[in-house]
Parts: sequence; C-alpha cells; structure tokens
Amino acid sequence: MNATRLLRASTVGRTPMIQFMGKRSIPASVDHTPRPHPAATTKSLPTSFAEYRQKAQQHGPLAYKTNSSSSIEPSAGQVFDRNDLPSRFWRLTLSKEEMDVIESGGAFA
Amino acid sequence: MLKSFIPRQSARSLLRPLNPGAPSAFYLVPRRGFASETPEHDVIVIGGGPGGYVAAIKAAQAGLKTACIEKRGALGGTCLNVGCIPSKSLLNNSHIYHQILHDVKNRGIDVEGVKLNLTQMMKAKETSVTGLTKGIEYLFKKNGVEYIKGTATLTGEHEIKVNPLDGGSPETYNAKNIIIATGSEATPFPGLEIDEQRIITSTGAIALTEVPKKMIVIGGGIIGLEMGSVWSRLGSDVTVVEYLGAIGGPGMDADMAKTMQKILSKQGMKFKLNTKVMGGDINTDSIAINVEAAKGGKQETLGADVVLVAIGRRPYTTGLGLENVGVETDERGRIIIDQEYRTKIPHIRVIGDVTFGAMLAHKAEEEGIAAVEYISKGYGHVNYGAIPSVMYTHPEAAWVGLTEQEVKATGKDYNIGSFPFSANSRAKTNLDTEGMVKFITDKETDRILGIHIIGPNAGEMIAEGVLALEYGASAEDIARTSHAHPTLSEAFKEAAMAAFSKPIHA
Repeated sequence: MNATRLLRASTVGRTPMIQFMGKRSIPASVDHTPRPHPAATTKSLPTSFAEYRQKAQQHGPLAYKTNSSSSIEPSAGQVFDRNDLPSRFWRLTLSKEEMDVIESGGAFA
Repeated sequence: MLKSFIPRQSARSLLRPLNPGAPSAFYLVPRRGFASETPEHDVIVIGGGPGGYVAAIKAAQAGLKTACIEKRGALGGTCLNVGCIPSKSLLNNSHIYHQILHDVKNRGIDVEGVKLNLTQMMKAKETSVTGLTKGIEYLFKKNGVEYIKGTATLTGEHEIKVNPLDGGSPETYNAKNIIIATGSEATPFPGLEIDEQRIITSTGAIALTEVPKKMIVIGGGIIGLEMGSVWSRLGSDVTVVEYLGAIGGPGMDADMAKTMQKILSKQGMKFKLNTKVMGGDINTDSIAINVEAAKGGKQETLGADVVLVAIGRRPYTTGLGLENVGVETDERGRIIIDQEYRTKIPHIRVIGDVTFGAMLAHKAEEEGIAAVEYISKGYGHVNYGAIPSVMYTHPEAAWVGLTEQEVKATGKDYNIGSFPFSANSRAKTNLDTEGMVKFITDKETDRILGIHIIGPNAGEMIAEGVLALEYGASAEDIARTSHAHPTLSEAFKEAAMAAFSKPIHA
C-alpha cells in the first residue's frame, strides 16, 4: 500500500502523515524494568543490574516492582527493619562530645 | 565549639519528595545534620560539557538542588573549549581567507595584499570560546546551579570526593542522584606519541602557531576532514590517510562520501584510502609516516611537518573511581547503562560520549535533558533514529536517518529522490552550487527513512529533515510544504518531490 498515493487519489483529499499530536503528556504507565540502552551494541544487560536490585534497598527493597503512580509506603503487612537499609539510613549514634554538649545544656564554650 | 555540635535543621531538599514515580529517587527520612557536613544535593553532575551543563541547568530548573563538577577550569567541555566551537571559528575564517584569495575576483571584487594573520585568527577563535564558556557560568548562576571546580572521584554510591583546582583540601559531597558526563578523549595512535606540537590531535590542530608546509591526517572521518580543510585552505599540503575505502566515517552515505571526496580533492586535499599507517619516524626536521595498502602489499613513506591523529575518540573515565562503586564498562570503555541511562546502581546515570551512541554534543544534550526528566518525572525521550550528523567543511555535509546501504541491508524496497544545488536558483546566485540533497523513502508508504545533504548550509538545512523524521513524515509531506523562493531550501523540497514523484527544476 502506498499511503500517500492512495490518499491523493481519494475524494476527501490528502491527509498528511504528519499529524498534530496534541499536548504531550507522560504515559500513564511506564515500565522502569532495566533493559539494554537502544544504542548499546549488546542486546542484554550484565547480570549485575538484576543482582544489585535484588539486594539494594531504597525506601524498601529495590527489587519490588513499582510503577510511576505507586506509593512509596510499604504495602499492608510488609515491614522491614531500619537496619536492613544502607547505613546512612540508620539512627545516628551519639558521640561522647555530643553527649557532653547535651548534658551541659550548652553551658560550655 | 558549641556551634559545631548544634543540630541543624535538615536541608529542605532532603525532605522533599522528588517524584513519587521515579524509581531511583531516594526519599530520605529527616536526620540530624551538622554544620561541618556538606549538605546533600538532589543531583550532582560530573562533567561540565554539553551533556553535563545542560543536565545541570535542566535539573536546577526542575527545582532540584544541583551541582556540577568540572575539572577543566572552564565549562563547555571538549566541544566548547577544544572541539566544535573553536574548530568552527577556524573553519569559518579560513573559508573567508580562501574565498578572498581564490573566489572573490570572479565576483567582481579585486583585493590586493591579502595576508594571513594566524595570531589574530587564533585570537578571534579564543574570543568566541571565552564568550561562550562565560555564558554557561552565567546560566549556572541564573538557574542556581552550584559550580564546583575540581576533579571528582566516586568514593561511595552517593559520595563524591572533589580535589579542588585551586589546590585546597579535598571535599566530600553527597547526592541522591549522580549523573556522569565526563565525555571522551582522542584515541592515540600506537607508536606515535602525541606532543600537540608536531604529532597532534584535534586539540593541537586548533592551536598551531604556524601553517605547516605538509600535513598528514590519519583518519578520514569528520574531525580529520574538518581540520584538514582548515590547514589546506591556509596553505598546507594536506594528505588524508584512511584505512577504509571511503571518507566521512561509517555514518556517511556512500554516494555522499564519494561526492565529498571529489569536492575536497578539487580544493587541493589528497586522499589515500584503503591505506594502513604502519608507524612513523620523528626527526628534528620532519616526520616520516610509513603506510601500506590496507590489504597488504605496496608500502610507501609520506613526509610531513605535522601529523594529525584523528582516528576516533574513546570514553574518558580516568580518575573517576568507577571501580570504587562497581560501575561497569564494556570492551570499548563505555559505561554500561540501561534505557533510562542508569548504571547497575540506579541513581548513578550516565550520558554523552562516555557511554553508548554517537559521540556528538547535541546527542549528549538530549540525553542530559532525558536523564533529568527520568529523575524528576520518571519519563524521558531521545529518538536515536533522528540524531543529525554534520561535517562543517565547505560545502557542508549533513545527514539524518539511514544510509542507502543500511536500507538496502534491511531488504526493504525504497525510493531515492535527489536534487543538485546546481539547479537551485539561490545556489546559482551565490556561485556556490556544489552538492545535492538525497532522500531515501519507503517505496510502499513514502515515509522518509534517511536524508543526506552536501551543500552550502547543509548543517542548517538538515534540521527540517530531522523534524520530518521525528514526526514520521512522508516525502510528499515535505514536497507539499511551501518553501520560500529563492532559497537553498527549495533544493530540499525538490529532492522530496523527486522521491515521491518528479522534481520541477531538474
């Protein structure tokens, strides 16, 4: 089929292939599962991508599937311990100097 | 002493959700901060080239607390400092010089006493470069991007150590998201040590202090042909040695490559195709380059004062500390990423020359914007099928989409429509008629598959082709669109007419 020639021959006149697409919007659902980059020369990602996600923690285990509209809250019944997160998310321990500051009420210079 | 221990309220950006959908954005709980700690950034971009600085500005515009680390001491990367921009200055000014010497007499302009002032030509180049790099610094200030001058090393998944350029003590920065945009460097030729004086890369080719009598260019790609053109116009005897059977690199259509070679040969450049460089002897007075036929056989020695090594570029990751965080590269040194520019560590993204795809500034810019949109909105867009390439010789060569050879390889039936600038009224009045426009379209649907141009201002004209490809236009769509008369763009329209029907003026 030759689209433009057929359209030209039709009685309704030619409809360009270029169409006004309307205001652009973000698709309602985007699949964020890692896939090879379109310009990559190989058709698969190293296994490390999946392996990292299996053990990584970002507001819960990264391996859990999320979509663009999902809540960051864990689902009902799903819990995880703060200590399972990377150390930067742990409760900070107080140093001796900090304790001294608190106990002195700020009364030393 | 007390001051340094008083807990400080967490930075606003730590508590603010970036985007509920973006998978790599970290949503941090409030935590105690101290005045001695560097506040965490939403995004830190490593590299201030076209990909990096655009990503940084875009991130700041999206409301993210952003910093950009650059080790060169000037923003703009290779492109602005030692690549696209300075070479375009020299290409433009050397073309004017060449035109005055060889062309204006035919146009009724007699000029006497024309002399090359290379020092002034280089100053004009530097003025352009300085103006543009300062311009980016202004844009950083305007958009609130923190500019960190120093060398960045990844020391943790969220941590970057910066050695300041001013020699101060290293500082550590933390970021929720890191974008690597460290670019590329010229690939050296084994056995020829680059000194940027006599054995040069593109960096040395824009800074020579005198016109070499003889120049050998190793590599007939875009960089080699552009820089070869500059020094050929200024009086150098230039020979291009290319391993492959055609100039222009793998992306250039074979017809166009042949046409371009004829045009450049007419301008005085010499070509040795299918020729392999075996090595070189560097003496005090001259350089001898040993070459032989690529398939073996005939050997020859070429003499030169300056040798330009332009065999390609390779990703630049030296000192970046990828090994500290386990980010992987492929066999060509490119950082491995997925479709959203994420490394295996999802909040470390990579754009531009240092990863997959063509090493082009505008491709890096598109990726910079897309990467930030993935962070801030969870969705980005780059169409790798519609990235234009331009060679700024005279005439220019520009193309987008598939070459005829690539289309043929798919087995698809296709139409070719071409139109020469010698039949274009504006080109005729300009006395600048070399080149042509070539359309490749799908025979069945008339959809444009590729557009290839050699001609004056081809680099500007290709933008219409890129838009057409982006929208999925047919050749008839272009042919039925009014183009002003008399303009060079009428050749574009006529080539489209030739692809789906017949041109009027040829």
